[in-house]
Order: sequence, then structure tokens, then C-alpha cells
Amino acid sequence: MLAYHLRLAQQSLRKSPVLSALVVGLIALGVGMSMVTLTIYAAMAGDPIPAKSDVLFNVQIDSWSPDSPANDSKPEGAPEQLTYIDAMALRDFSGTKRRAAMFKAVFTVVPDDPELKPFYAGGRMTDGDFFEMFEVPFQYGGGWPQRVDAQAERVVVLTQRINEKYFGGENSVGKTIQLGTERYTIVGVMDEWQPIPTFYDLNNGYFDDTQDLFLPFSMLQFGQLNRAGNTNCWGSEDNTAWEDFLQSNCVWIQYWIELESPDEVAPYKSQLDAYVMEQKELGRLPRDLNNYVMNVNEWLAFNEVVSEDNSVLVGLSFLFLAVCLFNAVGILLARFQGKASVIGVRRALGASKGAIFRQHLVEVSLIGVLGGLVGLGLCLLGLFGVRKLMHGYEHLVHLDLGLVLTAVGIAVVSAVLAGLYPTWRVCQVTPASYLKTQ
Amino acid sequence: MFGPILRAMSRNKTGAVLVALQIAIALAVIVNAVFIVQQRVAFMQRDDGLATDNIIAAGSFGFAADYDHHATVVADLDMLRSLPGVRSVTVSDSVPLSGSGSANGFEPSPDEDSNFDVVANYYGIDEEGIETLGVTLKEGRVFRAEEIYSVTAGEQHSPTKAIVTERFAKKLFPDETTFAGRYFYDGNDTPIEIVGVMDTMLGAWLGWEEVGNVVLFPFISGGPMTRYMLNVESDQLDALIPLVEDKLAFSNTSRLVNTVRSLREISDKSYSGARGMAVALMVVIALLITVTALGIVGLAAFNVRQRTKQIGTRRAVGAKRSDILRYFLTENWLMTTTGVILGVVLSLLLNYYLATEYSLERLDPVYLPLGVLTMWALGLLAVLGPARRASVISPAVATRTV
Repeated sequence: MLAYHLRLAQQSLRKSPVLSALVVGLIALGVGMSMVTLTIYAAMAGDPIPAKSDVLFNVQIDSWSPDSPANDSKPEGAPEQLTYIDAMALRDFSGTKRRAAMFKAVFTVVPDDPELKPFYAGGRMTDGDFFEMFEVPFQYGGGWPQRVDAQAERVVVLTQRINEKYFGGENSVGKTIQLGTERYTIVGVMDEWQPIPTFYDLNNGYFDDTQDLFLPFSMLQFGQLNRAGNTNCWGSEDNTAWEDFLQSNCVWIQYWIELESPDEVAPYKSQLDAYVMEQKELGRLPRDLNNYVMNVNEWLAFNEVVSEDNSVLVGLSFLFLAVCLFNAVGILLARFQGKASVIGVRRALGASKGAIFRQHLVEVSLIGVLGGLVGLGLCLLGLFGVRKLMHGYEHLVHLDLGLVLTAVGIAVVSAVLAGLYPTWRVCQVTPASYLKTQ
Repeated sequence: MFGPILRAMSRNKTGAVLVALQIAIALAVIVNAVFIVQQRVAFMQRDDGLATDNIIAAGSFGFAADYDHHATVVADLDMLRSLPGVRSVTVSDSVPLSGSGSANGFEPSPDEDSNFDVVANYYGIDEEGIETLGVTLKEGRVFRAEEIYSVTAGEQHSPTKAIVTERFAKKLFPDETTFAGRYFYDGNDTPIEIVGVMDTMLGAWLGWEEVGNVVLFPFISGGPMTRYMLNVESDQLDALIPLVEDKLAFSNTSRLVNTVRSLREISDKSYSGARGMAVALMVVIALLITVTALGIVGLAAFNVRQRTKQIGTRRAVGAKRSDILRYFLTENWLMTTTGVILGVVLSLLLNYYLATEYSLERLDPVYLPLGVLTMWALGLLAVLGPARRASVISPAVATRTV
């Protein structure tokens, strides 16, 4: 029966090719446009680490000036990063499954081959727990052992990208690499890893590439590093010298913990509050108690990772889809009305209202599928345009199976919705009135 | 005269209602989208005060054990200044408009207790800095060569001279009109003299509301990372970029050179979000206009075809071509106007939602009449073709089939 309906639908589409193409085109335009905005929105609003987003927490302490909040536009919030003093103290807290302090630094990779130019590489200084905490996949080797977090060693985890560039993609674990003036032993090579957004550090862009190198936070024991990322300070203390800087009120360290379960937030939070009260007695942390332990999604919401522009575009593109659909309804009505006499004959020959309804539903669904496929093509074109036009959207515009299915799904649902009323109208044809005039 | 038209329209209510709805939604979206586009364009076109089309920016990062920062800077500046096509060169700790930079709070008095501070991006430049950046001075003078000092990394230093933007100076001294020769403070007791006042210059973060607060100091920072800005003849800019990269890289191998780019490219990248939004909205607007016009044409054409006999009859009993034309134009005008009235209400609702839910501004009321006029014009243009075709239907049609 479905095959019969499909054959009829195909015939009917062929009979009025211009109108059919118009309806398919309208649905494709509407779906293509809304899929472009929806893809980017979904990528921005997605959970970067769904398996663990409720047990990973960003820790914030309000260490700012007594006179003003750290961020005037979010006066109730605390600074998003920690001072060195607080980050070091937090590493001694109990009750966490894993914890990692981190910040960005830049390095120069000096190839052993003197023919090759040295190149610039972004590094993340962090603790050994980072890799298991954030489920970083490894191609070779793994993170460094915990003793390195206490007693610094010059070890490094490479991203696949750098391993490809420097070692041609082979297993480089155990080999050494020259970074600046020192040699570092490679302990691991990551597999492809690109959380979207890079939730663990939202300071400089949300959707950029991960750093190229991961090195021990404890390397601060060797002295000053070329820090990158954001540093915010208050008051007029002199922190030019490195030792003064480490003891200063400047915030520059991101701090993450993993707990066994979300229930353990409360005990951790009271530990945190107790620490802050203790520090107040020592004359530090002059602001009112204002600490935060936010899970991944709370943290992303707090940072407003989804851009407003994108939300607005999603809304407007769906309004555009609505206009396309109203337009399609009009055309379908006209088309089906033009077929009233044929339907009259079919009804007179015994086709039930139900059969007519089903047949036209199959026809609009076919239009929907076609519209979805063309819309998908338009969506790809649109995403290509976004890639060209927007800086930093490279990781946001990937087409996946989910997107394909959503596009075709939206198209079919749209087409059926657009076709329901015309289809219902067509079933109201009274056979007699059309048989008379023939 | 509307009577017969309304009765005819009520025959194909759905079609007319659908087109009116399309017009309403299209108007609401277009009015709001045009408003947003206009704001983004104004944002992108604001004056950055810089010779953006003439500037090349280059970064240098010393890494080797034998790297000597200040010797490198002196040698680099000599080398860059000798290149043909280069008008002037300055060293700087970061590049304006790039999204990366430093800011500090400044005060009009050394009083520790005062809470009043004005935050500004600051840059250390040398004596060719003002000329290279291409900023215009409203008051005062540029830095003199003897005022430029070198900072040692990790050592405290206090600048005593500064060139500031007028915007910053006005925030610092709201009651004054001239600023050269006044002093301000960066949190410690050393007074900083304003030696020059810039008309306009934008700092690091283009989305920041205080990006027009810029302070320039006469120092060369301590490295090992530094940047150079070159003001060059615009016709040689493209050729100079790879040349500068090579010259820097081969003149000194104890450092690496990164990202030699034009300031225009850096600025375009920083504005890409605003530009992307504007382009996306313009695509939506263009498609909406096309689709809506298509809907109007489609309905009118359908009506004309359906009423061919009726039109023939009317022509046969004495209606002129202009009567038929006027009939279809009026019918369409009624439909468009219904849509437009609904659309105005929708526009306001949509804007109210956007303004409360997001940080968008309230609609400038002038956009509404403009949108309404556009929709009327669009409706008229779209229906003109089908209405003309209707008007040339021969009266003889009425006599053919009954």
C-alpha cells in the first residue's frame, strides 16, 4: 500500500514540477537556515564531558578587594581564578577524588634538526590528575606519576598535533624534546582531544584549540615561567618580582576537583569556608565569605558560554522557517485544489476519505524528505560560510549523523505540518460536484 | 468599493490569511534584524584612531640561554627602520585591537583611600610610537627619545610621563577641558605627567565598554616577549610582511618570530563576531523578503487563474482594464495592511522579548514606519505582475465554457 501511495505521490510531484520544486525549495531554505544556527547553538550549549559533568567542580574563592567586586557586571560572583597561595592551600584539602590546579604558559619548541625553525607552543601547567579527571585519551603512554606533583621533574605530555609535527606521529614516549633552554622527557602522547567548550579554562576564548603541551604545575619550583592567559590583581602592592608575585593577591590559577558524588559538595564547601575564615584571621581575604564550588554546567552557565547572538539567530531562523512553512501551506493548498477533480473521481470509484488522506500525507512526507536533503546541502553551505566568516568557530561547525537526522526530521515534521490542513481540505471534496461538470 | 473584494477574499480565506501571517512575521523579523545589523555596523565602523591600513605587527619571543633582550630590541629597531617602504617603527608590549593586552586602574590623586579609579589599557612604546600608530594629538607632544627607558624584567618601575586618550582624561578629570601638564597616579606615589592627549585610540578588547581608555608610556618592556609595529607605505604592506618575518628570524636565532600580520587583519579577526552576526542577519533578511514576495506573487497568480472566467465576465459587462488592475491591487493592499498591522505588534513584542531576555537595545521607533513602507512597496511590486496579467484577460473568455 505504501509503495502504491509513493508511486502516486511521485506521479503527482512530476505533474506539477514547478510547484513541487517550490515547496521543496521553501522547506529546504527554512530547514537549512535553522539547522545552521541550531548546529552552532548545540555545539556551544553542549555538555563537554557528559559522563562526569556533575562530579567535576570549579573552585572559586572571593579574594578580591574590600572596596569592589572582582567583576562589576557580576557583583555577586567571586573571581574566576585563584591566587597562588589559595591554590597551594587547596591542594592539601581532603575528600577529593582528584584535583588539578592549572594555568597557561608559552614555550618554544626547538627542533633538534638545525634546519628547522623553532616554533611557539602553548602549554598548560597542571597536576597529574588532570588527564584522568577530564578523561583525556592517550595514544601512547599517559600522565606523569603523583610524585612529580610534589617534586618537580621536567616531563611533558604532547598532543597528537605536536607529536605529529615533531616526531612524525611515532611513539615518542621516553624520548626528550627541547623546550626553550631545557630538555623534557615525554611521558605521554594524547589522542585527539578537543572539549567544546574548553570548559577547564574559559579565560581566553571558549572554543579554541587545546594547548599543545601539558607540563607539571610543580615546575613553578624551578622558577619563573612565561605565563599566558589572564592575570588580575587589585590594590597597589608591588608584585613585579617573581617571589612577590607568587605571594600577591593576583588571581591567575584555575582549580578543579573531582568528587565521588555530587553529595560531597557540601562537606567540601564547608572545608573551603573554614579555610577562608582561618585566612581572615591572618589578615587575608577581606571580603565577605563568598566561595563557589560549581559543577561543569553551572560553571558554563555562570560564564555565559553560549553567545547571545547565537541564541537570537536560532530564534530568528525558526521564525524564518515559519514564514517558509506558511508559504508552503499556501502552495500545497493551491496544488491540491487543482487536483480536486481527480480526487472526486477516485472517491466516486470507492477510495475512502482515509485512503485519500493517507495518500496525500505520503506525498507531503516525500516532499519533506526531499526538502530535508536539499536543506542539508544548504546547511553544509551555510556552515562552510560560517567557517570562512567567523574566527574561532572551527570546532563548532561539524556535521554529524545527529545533525543529518535532525535536519531531515525537522523537514518531514515541517512538511507534514504544512501539509495537514491542505490534506484535510482535499478530503472534504464531495465526489458528486466534480463528476457533474466532466 | 471594498465590499466585493472582501467577499471575494472570503472565498479563499486561508490563502489571504497565510500571506498576511507571512508578512506579519517577516516584518517583525526584518525590523528587528535591520536594527541589530545597523548597531553592529556602527560598532565595526567606529573610529579606532589608528593607521590600521598601514600597520604591520610582529612578535618576537626570546628563548635561548644567550638571548639578550635589550640588545635584540635595539638591533631589531635599527634593522626594521632601514627597510625600504617602512615609515616608522615602534616597539610595544602588545598590539591594540588584538584582544590581548594589559589594563590597570589609574587615579587623579595619590590618596590611598580614594576608591575612584579609571581603568585603561596601557602600552609601553618608544619615541616613534605616536607616529607609527597614526593617532592624532589634540594637545601636547609626542615622547622624546631621551624619555624612553628600558625596563628589566621582574623589576619595579614607575613611569613619569604618559600620552592618554581624551576619553580617559575626561573620565579622570570630569570638570576639566584641557589635560596636558596634569598629573595622575597608578596606585603608588609617583606622579605621572600627561604630556600629550590623543583624539581617539582603541585598546585591546573591542567588546569592552572602556576600550577607548588608553594610556601610552615611554618604556620598552623587559621581554623576553615583545612586539613591533611598523607604519609602512600601504602599497608595500603585502610584500613587507614576509620580508619582515624573514629578516627578524635570520637576524637573530636566539628568539622566534611569531605572527607577522597587518593590523587590518588583526582588527578584522577581532570584529569577526560582529561581522558574522551582521552577515547572518542580512542573509535572513534577504531570504525573508524573497520568500514573502514569492508568497504574495503565488497567491495573486492563483487567484487570477481561479477567477479567469469571473474577470472575463466583468470585462464583458463593461469593466475597464484599469478597474481589474485596481481590483487586484486593492485586494493585495488590504491583505498587506492586515499583515503589516499585525507585524507592527509582533515587532514590538519580539523586540521587548529580545531586550529583556538578551542585552539588546530597545528598538529605535523610526524602524517601524520604514519597515511598514518597505512591506507595502514589496506587496505592490509583487502583485503588479499577476494583476497586469489579470487586466489583459479578454472579455471573450467569459463566453467560452460555461
